Amino acid sequence: MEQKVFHFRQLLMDVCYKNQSGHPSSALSCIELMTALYYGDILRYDLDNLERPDRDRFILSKGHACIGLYVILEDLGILDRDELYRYCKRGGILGGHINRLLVPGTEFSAGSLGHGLSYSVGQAMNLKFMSMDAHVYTLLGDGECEEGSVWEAAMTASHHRLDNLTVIIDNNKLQASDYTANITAIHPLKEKWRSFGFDVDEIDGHNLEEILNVLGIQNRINRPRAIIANTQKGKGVSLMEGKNHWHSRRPNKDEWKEVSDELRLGGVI
Amino acid sequence: MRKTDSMLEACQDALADILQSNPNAVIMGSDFVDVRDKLPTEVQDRYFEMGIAEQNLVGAASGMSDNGVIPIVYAFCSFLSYRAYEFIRTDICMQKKNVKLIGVGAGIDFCFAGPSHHATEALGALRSLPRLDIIYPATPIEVYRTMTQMMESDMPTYVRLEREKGRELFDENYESNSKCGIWLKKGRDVTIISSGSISCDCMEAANQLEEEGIEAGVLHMPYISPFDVASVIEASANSKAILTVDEHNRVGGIGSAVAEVLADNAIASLFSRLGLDNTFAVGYGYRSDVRELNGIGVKEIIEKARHLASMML
Repeated sequence: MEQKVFHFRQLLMDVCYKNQSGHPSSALSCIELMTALYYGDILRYDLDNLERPDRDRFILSKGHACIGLYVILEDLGILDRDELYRYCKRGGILGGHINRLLVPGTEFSAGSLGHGLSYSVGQAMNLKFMSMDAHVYTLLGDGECEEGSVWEAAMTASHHRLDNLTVIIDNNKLQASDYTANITAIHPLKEKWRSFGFDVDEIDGHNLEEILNVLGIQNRINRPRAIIANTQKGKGVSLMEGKNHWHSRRPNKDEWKEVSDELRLGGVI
Repeated sequence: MRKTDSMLEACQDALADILQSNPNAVIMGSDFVDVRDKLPTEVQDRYFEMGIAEQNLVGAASGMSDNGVIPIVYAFCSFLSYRAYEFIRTDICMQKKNVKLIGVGAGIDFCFAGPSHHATEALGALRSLPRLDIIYPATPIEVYRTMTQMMESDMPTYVRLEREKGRELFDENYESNSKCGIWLKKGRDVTIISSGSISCDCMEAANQLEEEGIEAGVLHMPYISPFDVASVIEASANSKAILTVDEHNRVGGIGSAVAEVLADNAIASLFSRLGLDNTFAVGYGYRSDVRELNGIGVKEIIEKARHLASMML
């Protein structure tokens, strides 16, 4: 799985650099989390029937990290390589934020922050209403937790006892223009989620073993869960790792040499 | 539907019948006793209370719309239209979700509550959303028929509901299937075009104008989106002037919709719009009082129509 993660880092950086589009640093912080969901026997999906009603749902609420999901969907054979390299380009279906009506294997058109958790609450309610044993996993950004609707949704999730919902917060501590703590301090996150009625775990979001262990735990009856995954924005690319001002920036030509060496992008990806 | 002169009761009956006939229909409410406690016992488990949180309400309704489930959202017209606007746009319309939205308190329906509770700019905002049907019924029968009808379509739909009592324009032969304008009355001098319960005021005005010898017609539009272009063109061809009446800001309301039809079709017409003059509605009191205080009472409709009918193009 570590090889997969490295492959995804290579591929997403290559696409973002060549197309000079996207938010690669935001995808790099949550690529282990998404890889664990898709390849760690956590998320139950059916490649022969992507719209199977009782599939688990993965809602990528921090929609700007979509390149991280696109490279996974390419690896699973849902998207082809040419399509991937049309990312954000004329003629392509892969925009800077997911359009669920265009991209197979995706659940939710994100982009506007603070929508994904409300949608997930509705999905979890639907699955319960339909008596389907399926789980909803929602990935939020830490900056996204500044949106009030996140907390409306959190309150509703515990009120409706949605034990088929797991929220993962990609706590990379950076948002578009500065460190989250300097924009609007949202901490202490753990206590906030706990007080909203969630069972909360805190993990290292780049440690696959920790991620798989925590995702392997079942929700307690009647309780939604939140996992605070401490991560670094731009993880795996030293130039970007944990640094400000990389939110919607790609390496330029001068910087690319260093990045491609570090990611060993000389050979076949 | 029971015999009722109340639009709210007609809505309650429609919701009860919808839930009883469609096991996939659910209601997602926002602290509204009007709906929850009026549902028949056997379907009450399909009422989901979502609290006073309109953004989350609409986002969750979008998520609930899956596996054939059809969520019906019930909330204040003003808060649903304004507070949750982006959720309606991005989670319902953009993602093509079959969600039905009922906004209670259209226009100045909450006439004692003041402008925080008025929905006098909502049409301008909602009318510009792609993929959203907007229904604006005038009477109890029309509320019931259009609401039961909307369940047969998979379009996202917004019902602009009022709690008006006491007036009816239709009988059991009412047909709403076509989404077309309804000619309540035809007249060669002026056609008054309106939506919602103020169409009843327009009829009252037209009848009084007739006594003065002015032939005034009334074209009522139960659907704001899609907007029935053909009826408006017919009105411009068959009467000398057109007057639109909005219980809404003149910006973005039915007057704007009619102006767009005339402009798009290069039609020159004697045309004027009655509505709020880019202000918030003032005053408190009965609905008719607040209409009058804001220049959209029956008297003002008559004066405006009379003036228009006397002009020559």
